[in-house]
Amino acid sequence: MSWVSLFVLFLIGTSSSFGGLERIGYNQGYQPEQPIPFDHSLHAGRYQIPCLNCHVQADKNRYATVPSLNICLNCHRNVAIDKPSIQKLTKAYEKGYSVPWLKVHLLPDFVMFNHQPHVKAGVKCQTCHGPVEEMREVYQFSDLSMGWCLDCHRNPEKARDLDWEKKKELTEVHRKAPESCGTCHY
Amino acid sequence: MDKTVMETQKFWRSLEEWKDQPEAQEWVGKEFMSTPMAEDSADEDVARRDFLKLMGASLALTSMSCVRKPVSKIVPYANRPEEIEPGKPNYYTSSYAEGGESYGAIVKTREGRPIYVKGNPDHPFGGGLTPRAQAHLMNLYDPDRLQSPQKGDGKGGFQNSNWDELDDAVVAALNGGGVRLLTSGLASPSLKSAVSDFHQAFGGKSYEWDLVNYDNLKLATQTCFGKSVIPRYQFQKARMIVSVGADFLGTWIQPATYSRQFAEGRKPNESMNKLVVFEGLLSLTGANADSRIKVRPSEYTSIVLGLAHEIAVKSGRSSFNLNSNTKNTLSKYSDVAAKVGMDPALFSQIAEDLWKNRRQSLVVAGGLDSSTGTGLQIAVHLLNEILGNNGKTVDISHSPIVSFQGESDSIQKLINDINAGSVKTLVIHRANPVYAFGKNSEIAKAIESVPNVIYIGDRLNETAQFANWVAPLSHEAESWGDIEISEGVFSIQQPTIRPLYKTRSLGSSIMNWTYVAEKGPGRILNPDNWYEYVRARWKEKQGRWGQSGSFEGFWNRVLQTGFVNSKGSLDRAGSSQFRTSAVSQIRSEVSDGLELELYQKSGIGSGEYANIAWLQELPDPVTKVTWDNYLLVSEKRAEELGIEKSGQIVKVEANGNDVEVAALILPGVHDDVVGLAIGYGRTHAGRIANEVGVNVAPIIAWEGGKPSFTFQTNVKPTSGFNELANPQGHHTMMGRQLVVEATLEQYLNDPSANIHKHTLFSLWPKYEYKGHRWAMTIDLNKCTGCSACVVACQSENNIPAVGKKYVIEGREMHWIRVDRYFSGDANDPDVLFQPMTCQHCENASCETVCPVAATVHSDEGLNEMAYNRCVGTRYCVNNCPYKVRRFNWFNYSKVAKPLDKAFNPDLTVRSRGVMEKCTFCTQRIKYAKHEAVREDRALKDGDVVTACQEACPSQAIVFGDRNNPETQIAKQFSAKDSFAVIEEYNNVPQVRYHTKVRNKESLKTSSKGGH
Repeated sequence: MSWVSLFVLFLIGTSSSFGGLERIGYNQGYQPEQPIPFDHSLHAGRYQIPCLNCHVQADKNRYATVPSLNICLNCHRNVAIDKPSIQKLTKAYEKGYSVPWLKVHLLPDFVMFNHQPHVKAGVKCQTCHGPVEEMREVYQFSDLSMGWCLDCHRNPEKARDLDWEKKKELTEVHRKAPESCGTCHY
Repeated sequence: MDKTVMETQKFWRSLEEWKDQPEAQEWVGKEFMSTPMAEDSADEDVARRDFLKLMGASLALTSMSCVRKPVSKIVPYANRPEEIEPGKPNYYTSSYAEGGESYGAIVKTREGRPIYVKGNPDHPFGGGLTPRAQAHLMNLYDPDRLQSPQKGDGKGGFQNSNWDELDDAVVAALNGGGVRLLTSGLASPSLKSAVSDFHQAFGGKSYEWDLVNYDNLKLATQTCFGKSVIPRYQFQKARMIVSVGADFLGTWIQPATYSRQFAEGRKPNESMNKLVVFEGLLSLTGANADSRIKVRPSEYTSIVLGLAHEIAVKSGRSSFNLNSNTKNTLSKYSDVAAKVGMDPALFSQIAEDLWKNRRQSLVVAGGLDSSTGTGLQIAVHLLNEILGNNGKTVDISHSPIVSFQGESDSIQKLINDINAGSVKTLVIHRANPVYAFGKNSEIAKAIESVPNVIYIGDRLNETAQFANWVAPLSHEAESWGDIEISEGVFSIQQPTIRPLYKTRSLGSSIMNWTYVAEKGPGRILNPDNWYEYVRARWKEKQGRWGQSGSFEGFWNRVLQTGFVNSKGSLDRAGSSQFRTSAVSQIRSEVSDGLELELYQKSGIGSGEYANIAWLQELPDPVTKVTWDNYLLVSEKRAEELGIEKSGQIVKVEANGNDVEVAALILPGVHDDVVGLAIGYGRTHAGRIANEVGVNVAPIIAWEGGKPSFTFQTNVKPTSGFNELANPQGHHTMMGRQLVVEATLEQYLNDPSANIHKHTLFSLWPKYEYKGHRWAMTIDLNKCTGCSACVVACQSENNIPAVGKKYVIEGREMHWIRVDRYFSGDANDPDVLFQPMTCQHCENASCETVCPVAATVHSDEGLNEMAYNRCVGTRYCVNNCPYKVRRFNWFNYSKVAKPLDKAFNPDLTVRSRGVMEKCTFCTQRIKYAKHEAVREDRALKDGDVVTACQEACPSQAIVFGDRNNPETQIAKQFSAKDSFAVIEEYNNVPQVRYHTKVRNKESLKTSSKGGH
């Protein structure tokens, strides 16, 4: 065993004691400071705005999408316009600039995740993203590891929102949670 | 099964293999021996072993940090355009035009970036695209494109400038009078009117010119029918097709359109068409012929007239009254068959077949223009008239092709103008005559002598070197336009992206100049921009085209469908009175020396798009050579000339000049003919094309002010050697039964004729596929070998080009290749094409040897490749009997900006050390499934279309779910004429092929024999 691998092992050993991370390299609990302190607990929690109101594509597309500024301004042209953050947002919109949000949930490039089939199959947003309606600042709730993905794909019933299922007749297409490598890696 | 055929028919891939030469064996032996340690020009300076050390260190660093590196950002739109949903493609109708060859296209965009082009299936000229039409989008992202206006010193030195400066200088020059405009052929009606406005403003006149104009054909049609157009051929209606040197499936006029039509008539039944080809070289059309006869190009005219003689004079039959003059002319051609050295009985039989199928046969002729080409085309018109084809399979008056607007003598006229001293300012748009005719040509000298030269083009090419100002031209995907392909059929060209750089379209530049000069008619001065101008022209014509309703409604309809057809059904064909007097203009001079025929390759064409690596690396459909042009020569002639082997440099002397180029010994070439492709040897096209191949410009013949591409030559071998990058020897499948062909008669008796059936058994129970089960069939009978699928796959799947050096080492990355097989003897073989891609075997041999289970089978029958799992042992490629797996030797994904914009974001861009191969376009399967879920329905047949299937002009590829008995694939997959390659291996491939059917008496057998 060369000194390099020994060194690596040593580092792995020490790093696991940092920050109380449960698993190394998965960024669970990652909570960056955002350029505008957007508060999900206020919007989704207190005011009960449904997720899809702003993340408009989650049920029909690969990306749930962080809302474009015009969506924010649908309300914030009139609401809370005295707050400095909202003024910052409005100014950016009027100048045609955007807000560089920091990505919280980051999958490697070789993973092709698609929101649509999950939402369509009745998986609640909270199942993966955690209690967002209680988060003042969003953090990564799940570890987003492959094992974690497969956990549900092997037992799809576990992840389903039963209220949704009652509302909707799910076809076989919706029920299937494939487990082959090519489901996500291609 | 016909035993005799099986026993004597042998397929071979190269001359070396046919002769069992050691070279072929040598390659087989070392195919897997290449080692990364042999790299000597890896583009990174980290050597492989250091790389491993670094890997260790960086792993350590990432594990140590709690803060994520790199931090990614999400930057949403400030104001998201309504039509853009991130992650979803948008499709826009558009058109492709290069010179005159034009197609209706659909451009796929992702987040505002065009990334893929396919044919517009509803368009009359859009069923499929050529490789070039598909790849031309890459020109948009070409790092060597011009990014801002340039001020030149007229001698090749340039400095960056801006539009204001350029406009002022150009307008000052234009105001000085003596204006000439040289454009590439303008198929666009809007551009035509803009050019006429330009001349109204600044005086002068314009010339339109392309290297490939089909002037001969236009002139002949003018002479015979009084209309300077290219006939619209309808191959689908023809049951007997004779091509005399016209490569209509590969490069001639509208090859993708013709391929589709040809395939339509190619169904193996009683009315299957028959293709007879007379030619000197071995073209793609010749390779698809049922009967191919080798003749010299100078004999083309006499072949056509000989056939006319057989029918009209010898048998005394004709659909129209031949006068005695014509009969006298024809009677000189009574012994053509003997003169060209072919069997007179066969010749009579061809004439007989033509007459038997009169009014549903078709004769076409001619490659690039030649000095006797007009006569040849008149002869063809005469023969078609005798057969009654004009107005049936040949449309001359209803809606003929009008997109080829360039004229060959334009260059000579321009030279005359310049030499007469009447030209002060020369504006050149897109045309590149200095490349085409060489930097020592008359035109180059003439252009150099003009005081003000303004070049409008997308790069500082050979002609732009002489410019005082260069106005950078926008790509087609960045500008509005329109094309009249055939008379009365107008296609729209929609931009799909804003100009990436400070570029303008020709129309836009003209508008700016008239505006700055405050000259010209109101229609060009008033509109705000080029888009408004185009719309105004369409508005003017809306009524004339019989389109009712509001203009907005009409315009939206046009943008949606991509075209307007003001002519009614295009199945109709019309003709007018044939002028017999034309026959007197036929010239036929049979020569007896060695003839050189210049031709186009389907990838590179005339060389305008030579800087696209995909096209350079696209194996030529027939020779399979990449990254070069070469002198095609027959084996016998090579021996006589003293050419020892392919790759030896020869000196080609003609017309007082010479070029030195590598020779390629190709079976099937006439012993008295040699061939050389145009479009190579660019010097100012960009980093990819420069110095690739040899420019033929110096030896082009000039006659009567026009270039001629066929002439006498002398060839002398030299001691030089240039190894040609020919991937056909690679990935050999060791002589197992790979392709099956049958004659029509055999096929009609038994569709499974000649298919060698094997009794197979397995010790293990079969896996039961409960859901979908993806499969593909490829119809070898429809496949013409055009290789459009190769480029489409490259575009869809982010496949890199590797360069000549690595093609030679066998490291090309194409996921689908088109194998070429010969059968019969080396001097007169039959040719067969077989697209070969991952067969998604049920019992895949690659899967069992992967030590890390990176390639496994899915429950839908896909052989999946998990790139992130692959460690690059390459065991799988060693074990794959189909040789379809490709290894990333380098980090090809690190491309020069902005080429990365052309990547398809739906799938991984593979990096170094990873194995990859065809995935059956799994991203498209996923997309279709998700769309079905979105619409709450099950997948239906036709939802998933692979890129190769979409691109195939002849619709040879069928893909789908074979577990659903209603699908087309389920029927095709179990058809009697389908076979699996190397079935006895019991890999159970999910790609099956249909037998190649030849409409002839017997198949070629080889004197070598053996299966």
